[in-house]
Amino acid sequence: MLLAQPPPTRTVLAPRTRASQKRRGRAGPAKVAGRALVAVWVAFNVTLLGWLVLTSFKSSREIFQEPLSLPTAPRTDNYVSAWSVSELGVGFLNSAVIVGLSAALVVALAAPCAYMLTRGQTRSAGPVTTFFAVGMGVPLQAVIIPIFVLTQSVSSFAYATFGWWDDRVSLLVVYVAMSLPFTVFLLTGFFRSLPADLEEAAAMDGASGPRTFLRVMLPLAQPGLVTAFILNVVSLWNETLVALILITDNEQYTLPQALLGLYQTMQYTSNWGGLFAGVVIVVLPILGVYVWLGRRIVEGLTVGAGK
Amino acid sequence: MSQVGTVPREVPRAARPRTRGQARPRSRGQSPVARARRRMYWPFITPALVVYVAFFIGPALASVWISLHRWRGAGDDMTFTGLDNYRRLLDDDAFVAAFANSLKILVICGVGIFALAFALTIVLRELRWRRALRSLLFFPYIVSPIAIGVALGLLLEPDGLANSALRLVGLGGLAEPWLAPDRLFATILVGIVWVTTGFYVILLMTGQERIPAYYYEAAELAGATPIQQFRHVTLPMSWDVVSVAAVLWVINSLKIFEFVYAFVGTGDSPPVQARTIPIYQFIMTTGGRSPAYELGYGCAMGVVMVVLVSVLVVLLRRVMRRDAIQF
Repeated sequence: MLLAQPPPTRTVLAPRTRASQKRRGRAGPAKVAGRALVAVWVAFNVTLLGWLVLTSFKSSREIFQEPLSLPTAPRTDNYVSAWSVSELGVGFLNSAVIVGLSAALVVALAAPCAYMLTRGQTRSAGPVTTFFAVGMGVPLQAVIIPIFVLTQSVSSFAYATFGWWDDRVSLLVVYVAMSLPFTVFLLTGFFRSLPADLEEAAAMDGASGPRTFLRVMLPLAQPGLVTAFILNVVSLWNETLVALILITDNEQYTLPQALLGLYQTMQYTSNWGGLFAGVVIVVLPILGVYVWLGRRIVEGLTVGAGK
Repeated sequence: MSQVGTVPREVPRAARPRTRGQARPRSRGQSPVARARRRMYWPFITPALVVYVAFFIGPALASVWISLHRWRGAGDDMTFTGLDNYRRLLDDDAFVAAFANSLKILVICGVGIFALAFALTIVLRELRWRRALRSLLFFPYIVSPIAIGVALGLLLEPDGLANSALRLVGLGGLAEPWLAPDRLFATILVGIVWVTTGFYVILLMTGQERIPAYYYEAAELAGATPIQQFRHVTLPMSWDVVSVAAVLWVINSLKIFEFVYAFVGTGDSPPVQARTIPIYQFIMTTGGRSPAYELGYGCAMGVVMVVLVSVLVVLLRRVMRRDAIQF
């Protein structure tokens, strides 16, 4: 695969350029430069991704001797070796469970909280909402060291008392806590946009408060809850700093941690094909989610940027 | 993507309860719905609040306390040293270098990202398939920074794809040791711009999409070029989004960690030339081959970051304040 491959956008750009030339008589040099920038940028992104995927099917020898060629035969050994020998499979499983559970838990905690903060009509609702929002501006670096000490003490206490502890539980709790500010913020915005009449109607029909929340508000809020869940999955799937600090046992590594481990042992193992396969294993699930649910991700990420 | 977040200012408004002066409509205050809600308020809020306080706000406050001590973690006696850790930061050349690098990322990448994002939004506005193109610009942002760092590391190796391609097309003279200690940080700056710009393109475009089309039609009739349209229509009318985006960049840029860490990849920590505050904190506490466990010192760095973020956000808010344009 050559870098000089025509960008996939060219066919799109060309007729449009003609159209605007007709309308305006000329395409200024700035405009041409701008379009070239978009084309080159998009082509680079697509090429990089294609290169990673293609190279992950090549043998280590091919990777070094013919870095630009296509794989001679599609080999899957790289994936096998990355998955089992380098334990990316274990990491994948750890990540899937930890990330899935944390994202579900954080939405379960944040949804009732956000609902009451928007509908509570209590004097403390405003300050509490701000209190949660402040967390979005606090960098993890200001929180992480006490968390490290705290989780260490919890784990040694649990070992002494029950003879068991799993650092992945600590990681999960920390993930939930650090995801709360954004999730509460996102969901308060969402609940605020829901009509109040339905609640009144449910109350008239004799539904209790919690029942109104469960049967009327949650189903209405479902799109918002799903968006919150997806955004947390994407961001926690990529999270590495907390995992690096809290998890020390290879068997408990999350996926990015396992990939980092593989990269760092490269000078001894030289399993380059496996490394490319590892990158693809980390990237592909998120890319799949993005292709599937991209609009929701984009809308969720930009919420609150405007009015 | 861990860099999600928005500015506190927009939050409370509608959630804010009526102020004392305003009379509360009587029917509301006594309606069964309202009474039921008030009874549910604390049970609904407390679980989230407890987790947040115990595992986020609590540790943040503990950081301030620990930063006043010399401490190597559980089992070691905490020695109160007052502001010594902060004084030490000022004298520590490695920290000063890391601090400077963090500011370089903030300023240099910030200028690059916003210039490119503005340029790209101007161009994309006129293109068909702009949503698809935008998605392709954006996707590196939601991919694991570790994976991106490793991928770019492989791409830019001395004999990696980038240099091989340059040699193939006869530009071997341009091949560079991109990851050599002296060059690494510049490469990282470019990498950050590449990864991050897509997100700000999307953010700025959402601000733009709310501007009614007839403003652009009027501007076009008046003969305004795309750049003039941007200056006189887009920029003033999406200013609130621009200022939120700027605040987000301040918050997010300072805590970039994974990308820089994975870029080096050899198992060693990044060289001094490429360290940022988060990297240096990691090295001085639990990271690296033989962790230093200087927890008090590390906490002081965390506190410095919070102060830095707060000061910059307040300043930026003040500088970028404009009267809102109603439309």
